[in-house]
Amino acid sequence: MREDVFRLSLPLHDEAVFRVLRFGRPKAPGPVVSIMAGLHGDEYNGPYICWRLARLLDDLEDGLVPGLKIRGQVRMVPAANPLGINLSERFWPFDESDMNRLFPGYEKGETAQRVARALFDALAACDYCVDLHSANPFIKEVPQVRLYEDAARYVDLARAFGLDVVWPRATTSPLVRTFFTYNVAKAGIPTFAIQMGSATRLNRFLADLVFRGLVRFLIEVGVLTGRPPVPPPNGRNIVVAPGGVEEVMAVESGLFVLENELGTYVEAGEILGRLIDPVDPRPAIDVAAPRAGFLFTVRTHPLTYQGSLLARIARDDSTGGDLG
Amino acid sequence: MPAGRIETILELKMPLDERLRIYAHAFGSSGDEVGIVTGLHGDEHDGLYVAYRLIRHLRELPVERLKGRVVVVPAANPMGLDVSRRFWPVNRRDINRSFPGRPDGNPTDRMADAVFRRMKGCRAAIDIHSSNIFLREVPQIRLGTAFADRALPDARHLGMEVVWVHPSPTVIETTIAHNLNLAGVPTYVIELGVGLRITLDFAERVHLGLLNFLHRLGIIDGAPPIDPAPPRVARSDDVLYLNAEAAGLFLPATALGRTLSAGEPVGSVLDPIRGEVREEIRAPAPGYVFTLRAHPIVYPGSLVARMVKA
Repeated sequence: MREDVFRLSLPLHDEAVFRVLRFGRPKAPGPVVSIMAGLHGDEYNGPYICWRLARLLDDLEDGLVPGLKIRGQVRMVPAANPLGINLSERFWPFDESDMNRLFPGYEKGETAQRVARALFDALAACDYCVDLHSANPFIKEVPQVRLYEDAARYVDLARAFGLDVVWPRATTSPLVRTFFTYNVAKAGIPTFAIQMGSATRLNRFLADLVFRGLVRFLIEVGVLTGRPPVPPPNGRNIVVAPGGVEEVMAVESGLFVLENELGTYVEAGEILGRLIDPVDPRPAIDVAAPRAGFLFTVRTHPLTYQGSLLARIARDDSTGGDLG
Repeated sequence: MPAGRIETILELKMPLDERLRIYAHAFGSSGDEVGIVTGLHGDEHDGLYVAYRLIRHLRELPVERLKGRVVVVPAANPMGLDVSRRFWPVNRRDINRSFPGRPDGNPTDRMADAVFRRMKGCRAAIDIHSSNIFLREVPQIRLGTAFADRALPDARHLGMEVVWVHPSPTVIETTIAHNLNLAGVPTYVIELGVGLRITLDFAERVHLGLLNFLHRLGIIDGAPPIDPAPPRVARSDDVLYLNAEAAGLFLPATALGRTLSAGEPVGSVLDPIRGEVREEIRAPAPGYVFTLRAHPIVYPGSLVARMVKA
């Protein structure tokens, strides 16, 4: 069932429509899962995954998926920033507000705060919540689950997605308190921020893995019961311990030439890439892995400033510490 | 005349063998220092003009009249100002949401850190803003509730119409003002005018206010240039927000700085396609208009005015 959570009249006579899709009977005995996608208008993997899941759930409700039943409910907002998606703009295009810095929103506030409030009200009352994101346009990520509030409690549930990395991310920035996930999780609801791929791209292979992970999660928590319609993603499920992520920052500005591969294990000292300056053609500066581990974030945009993130490496404790 | 010195407080290497520098112009050699920063947002220009006026004044001031120190950072986001973008243009990160910053972080962290470190020893600091491209503001001071008691007594020397004491939402914790206040530097955010323009009469008033502040704090010796009346101090409950409920073209029916009675028109939202008025916005209570929308496009929720209750 599709329903408009919010219709925003535009200055010159059209409307922006914020749609929520609902599956399962309203009084179904099973749990309710909310899924948010497209808060950043330049991220297309989440809306694509919602489409795949909606197709599956539509077929399920039409009795076209033998051996699988829906016991609970799924609610999803596949395109939370429709103006941004139309224009491939990350933020709310009119005033450049970051939609994911406005939660829980304010119904009497500025336009984007009102939208945030309506989205929050449509999704926050649930048993489990998932927010789908791509990385920003500068980096690319393997499929991973990030936990913010009460992270330790939900690690096992996060592993149910079967993706490559589970990252309980300790952050002290006050900005986190304006995230959608933080505000849902604050009410004690297990909430998972899933990252994959890159903004401005549809990374079909990675997004399909996350779709399969979502289906696995829905079965795990009892929203769906029966035979899985797609195989699980079989990711590495590396749970990052506190301090287990090494962030590699650029020591110099320049163009970053990536020479390693996302989603592989690297040895300490292995070359990740090189920094060059085309108008000052001195030898390149090597960027080496400071420790061994799983390369789960890489910079794909060549433009690099001092302090720009080039890579993230996760220590894989499941294999007994640093590899190599 | 006092020897002003131009300091380079940050040198950021750019990708193509260029340097981006943030400059501070410092005057005086001993005594209390007052810090002034402008241009954290690259689409705000009143502060640049105010910095020009102040630096020019200090350059021409006889040396014996400078009893303390003044440091001015006129352009804290030089790249944003160069290309007329509000934020750090590369990834649109707001420098004024990056404080206190980090010396080894990404560019916005480093810019914030450089400005913060230069200011944190000051006796007082002033951060000058021109609202944004949507709203025009009468010259006013913004103070966070937590710091108001300490900062209020000297606020009147700045000669602004309004001092707005407001509680801090989460994001404000990452501004320069919040972080300087936490570090013990009473910090005043001055808002005036609108983005992308210089509102000259307002900027001249802020210039005089700054000079008066420097006189009253004993940084500059001599007769203070103005004797301002106490400002209206507005706490959260004293401020009325007027938001459009319809989308369309906003046409103001009043002017900044006017005192309206209840029901007086503030503006209307027009529908240019049908040729109709979609909404008439009126003062909900008597009050003084200290913010008025300058950008004509409105959505449901767009702020069109703020008033201090009379």
